[in-house]
Amino acid sequence: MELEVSTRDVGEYTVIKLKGEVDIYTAPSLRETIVDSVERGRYKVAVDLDEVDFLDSTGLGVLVGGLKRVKQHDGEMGIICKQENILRIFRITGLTKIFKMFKSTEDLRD
Amino acid sequence: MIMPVRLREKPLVVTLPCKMKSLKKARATVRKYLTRHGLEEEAPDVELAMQEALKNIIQHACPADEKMSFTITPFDDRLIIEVLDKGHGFDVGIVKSEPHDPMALRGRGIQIMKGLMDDVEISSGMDGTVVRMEKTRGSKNEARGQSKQDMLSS
Repeated sequence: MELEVSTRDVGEYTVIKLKGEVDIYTAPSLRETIVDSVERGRYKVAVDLDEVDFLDSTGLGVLVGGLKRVKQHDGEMGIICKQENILRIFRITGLTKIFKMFKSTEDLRD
Repeated sequence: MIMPVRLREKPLVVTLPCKMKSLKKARATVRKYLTRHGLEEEAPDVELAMQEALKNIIQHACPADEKMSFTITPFDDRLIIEVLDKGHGFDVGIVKSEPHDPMALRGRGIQIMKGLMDDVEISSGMDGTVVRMEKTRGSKNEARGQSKQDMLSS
């Protein structure tokens, strides 16, 4: 399965919604989308992983790269996810400590 | 008297070129095999740990013109997963002692493998690399994996 990437603005956040598998083949399209958002001046980015079936260390590296990029502009990067299989990977790698974790897009408005 | 653990099914044995393009095929093969044998619960963890092991071998240990192979052997209570190649090997000590900087862009593969599996052993030398992983059936051993990471990084 490939990766579908779509973006929309929700309040001050740009939400990047992913559907499919984030791996060494598909992670570059996520990286490009994050770069595009920052170049548009959108420094608060949230990546929605609720419809991601597979996420490996390459995908995590791209997310951390995105976080570094937005932080250069005093921005934020959040992760939207309720899926336990994906959240486990974030906990195992300690990434829940560096990303803002959200359960839903609605939580971005709080 | 200790009863021997029964082999559940015929093991899966796959050999592929040491190339990134092999990863997708490996993952699909693992998923199909585990699903066919009623091991859906273990499939996501095994798929990801296997992917990380293969990726490490491709990146650090095995030239592209060589082959790598993996086996999954299902027992009643556990799965034994082995990934191996006949490449030039790499310094396992360096990988194990790498600090887990949360802001690092790379270096999470072994951390993920250890977090998802109950046991991970990596041996590497001039005649190749072997990654042996064990997964207890029905286990979600995240806490154990995390504590192992803490020990490694301390």
